[in-house]
Amino acid sequence: MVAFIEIFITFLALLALCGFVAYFTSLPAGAAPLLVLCGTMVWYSIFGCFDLLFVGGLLWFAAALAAAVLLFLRRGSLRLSTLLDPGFVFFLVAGLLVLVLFAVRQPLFMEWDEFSFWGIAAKVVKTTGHLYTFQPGEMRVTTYVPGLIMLDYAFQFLGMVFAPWKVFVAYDLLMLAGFAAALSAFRRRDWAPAAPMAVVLALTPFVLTVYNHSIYVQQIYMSSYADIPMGVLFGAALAVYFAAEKKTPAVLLATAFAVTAESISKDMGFALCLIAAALVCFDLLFIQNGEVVFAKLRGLVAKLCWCAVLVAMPVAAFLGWAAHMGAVLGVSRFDIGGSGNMGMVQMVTTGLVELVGPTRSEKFVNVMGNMVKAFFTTRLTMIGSGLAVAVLVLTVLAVAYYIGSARQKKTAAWFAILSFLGFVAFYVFTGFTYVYVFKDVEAASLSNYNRYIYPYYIGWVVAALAVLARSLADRVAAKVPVRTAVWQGALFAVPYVLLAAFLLPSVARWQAEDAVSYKLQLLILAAGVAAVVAVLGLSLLRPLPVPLVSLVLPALAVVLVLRTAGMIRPQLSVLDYPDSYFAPRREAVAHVQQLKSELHEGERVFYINQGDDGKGWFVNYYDFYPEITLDYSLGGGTLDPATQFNQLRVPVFFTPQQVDYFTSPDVTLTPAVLCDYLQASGCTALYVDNADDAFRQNYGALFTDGLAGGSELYRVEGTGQAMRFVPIETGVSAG
Amino acid sequence: MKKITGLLKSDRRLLALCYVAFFVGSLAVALFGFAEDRMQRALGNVVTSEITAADFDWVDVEQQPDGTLVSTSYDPRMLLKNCPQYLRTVQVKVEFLNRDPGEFCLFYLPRPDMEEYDANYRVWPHLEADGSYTFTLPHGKIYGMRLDPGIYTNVQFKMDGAVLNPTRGLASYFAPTRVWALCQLVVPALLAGVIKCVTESFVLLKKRGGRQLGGK
Repeated sequence: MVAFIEIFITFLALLALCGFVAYFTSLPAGAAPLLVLCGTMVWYSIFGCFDLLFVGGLLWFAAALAAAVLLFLRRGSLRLSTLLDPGFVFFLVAGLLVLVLFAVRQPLFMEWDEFSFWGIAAKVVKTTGHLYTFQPGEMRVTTYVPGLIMLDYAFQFLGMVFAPWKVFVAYDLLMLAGFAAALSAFRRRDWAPAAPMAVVLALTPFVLTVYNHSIYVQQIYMSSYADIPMGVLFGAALAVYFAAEKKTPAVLLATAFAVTAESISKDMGFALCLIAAALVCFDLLFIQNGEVVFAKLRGLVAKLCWCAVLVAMPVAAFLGWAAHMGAVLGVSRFDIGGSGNMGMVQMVTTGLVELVGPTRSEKFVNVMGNMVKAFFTTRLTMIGSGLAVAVLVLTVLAVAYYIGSARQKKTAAWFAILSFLGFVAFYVFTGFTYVYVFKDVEAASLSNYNRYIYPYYIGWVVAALAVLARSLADRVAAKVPVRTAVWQGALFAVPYVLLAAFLLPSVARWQAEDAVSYKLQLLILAAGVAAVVAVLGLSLLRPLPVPLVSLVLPALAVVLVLRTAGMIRPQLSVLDYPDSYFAPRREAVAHVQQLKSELHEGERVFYINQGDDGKGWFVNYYDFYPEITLDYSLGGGTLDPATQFNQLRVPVFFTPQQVDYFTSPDVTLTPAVLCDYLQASGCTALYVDNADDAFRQNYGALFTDGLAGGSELYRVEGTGQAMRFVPIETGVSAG
Repeated sequence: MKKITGLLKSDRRLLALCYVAFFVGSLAVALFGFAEDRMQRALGNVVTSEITAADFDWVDVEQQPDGTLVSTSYDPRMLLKNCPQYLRTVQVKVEFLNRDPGEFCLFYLPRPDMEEYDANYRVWPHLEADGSYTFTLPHGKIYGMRLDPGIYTNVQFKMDGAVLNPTRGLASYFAPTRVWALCQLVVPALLAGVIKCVTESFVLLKKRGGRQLGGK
């Protein structure tokens, strides 16, 4: 209950800031949460980098309080109707639902990377009050950008203890704010198309990431992984701009904050934010004919200034984090390492040379060939492959074109081709990372392909819906002259020409290779072409009434609801997952709590889990933190007398002499070296999570009970040759 | 008729009408569920019966000397020997003695030709105030049922039997669920939106037709 009150107060503070933005700027109320949350990410990140997180938090709440007081004092002149547009109402209602649901059910972290970074980083920051770069402890990853972790800190700021479910609330509110930004095109009178669009937007993370009938709980909306929020933020940055009727300074500033937040959501976010910035800049420079103001500047100069801001802010964030990494961690952000051991710029230039040059490495040809095939044939979403998503987006944009004003038609047509080319650039860049960063085996299988690609799909769909929302809200379906329709139709045609150029020559070869029919791909392509041709053809005629065309939205919503419900039953989703889903985790947490009670606060414990692939160490490090420090213990995997140390396997606080000793080639983890290591690392206890027969045989003599007593915790007693491990009676035994 | 037209003209009234209508409709559906259940019981299709652990075939489940049961693998299963075709709810009286079972769930066979149980066809229980677990199955005939009492080895539990198709009070049909609550929030807004778009389109098309006829 206390935790709920804490986060509810934070939510109220967020609403106060949103209210301030909505009432005192020209930003539509629906887009206000996005600006506030992206601003919060940037704000806390700046203070975090200067190790002033607590001050940043105090100032954030002080700003919220000031906003609340101002709103209260001006209450007489403020009309509630300004706030209550569909986007803001959606954010308010959905946000409250998420908040209450998670406060009641309190979901936990479950996935690997939540323990290796996304969850433990948030826990470290909350516990220490410092950015994880300053207090990494035994965290193995500390170079990831901080935006989402800082957003979480804003929601953990009130409260004494870290709560995992608050992380989910923070991320979900960010995603809901992104959807609300797409809905910000609608005024109150437009609630009819806004309702189904809200449903479609809320389902987007499910529809575009789940591709199989689920038989396990899907963690969408209760995960701390950055991929989906990054995708939504990419779309939100575009949505806040394209949904706005007028490109006012507030709208452009919100866009700039959104692309900046995107750049610090995850490393790949930088590539996405540059694509978003480029799409916005093009529209601003070449399509918008309305007045744009920058300070006292107007016209083209003002547009150029805004373009500079849109690029400069994320670039500054990128360079700022690079400088922080260099200063605090002594690590270069530009060295991405990996199989090619290249810098970032070198990777891109090498990739481009291979892409357009006459000679290509075998790995390059194979990976890029697999990437092309995967786009057309790998089922990645509920609606099918990447090809199906592209066709859906282009069709949505065609509808936006059909019912748009003359200017909106231009926007939709250019957005269709440029966002497609943006996708091509993103896809090629991702291909480069497979070629030059990933190991050969991972590159050959396109490891984690879906997680790297679906952020673009999510953002792309959200942005396309925002363009459609703008067209619907304008209610000015313009008839176009034939000449205009032809060249704008050509813009829509380019993506299909490119798709056909890759698909048609390859489909027969793929069919022969896989002995599978790929006729469906040809049908999807044909259907997409037919849909766009039909819609553009109709544009030459007198348009149908906008409300009639907007019925496409409830139809799409119903189809997606049925599709989602068919793929993921409510009992396997955030809505109604069974308590038993988290029962094993809760049991593990309770077990560790019991073990912790037998140890002294601040102790360093060596971890033994034979056969572990590393996850056991990460999970237990997270659970023991912060009272007990789990030593890295050479990675938590299988230990035997032949195991060697390396630079990554020794604690960072070891002296150079200690590092030299333990990493010398002739030093392996013999029982004597294990004792040396425990003494050097300051481990005062051992936690035997799982000991196999080999371990008992090799090290059993060091344990006074010969590891036969079933104890899990052992106290380190004696030094040097006399060191022995004595069981600690815990009242629990190894399972 | 005029009253209905008037309701549709105001957005607020239209929304209120849809919310009320959907709520009433959902109550009617719940009432229908109650009536249908009573009818099926009267026809003898849905029958309440009590069973014991002995009515199941056990796989990786063993009985201990004190009468309690224990799982001997991480995949214990209890297959009902004579499964009725009409199985709506199953109330299992079970107490897990030494640990949380992890996932306690019920699998069913929705088709007669299905030979293997499929993870797509399973339900999870609702823990009742008296400590029993109630599984609610989808309507329709089933051709087999299996209980999985946990996902660990050495889960000890005491099973005091189960009730197939226990009699449900009228009120239980109206107990709100999260899905129901979300539907109450979203579906009426969607319905109202569709009605509004259709009526607006109708008016616009009528005007357009009128202008064309009038030569404007």
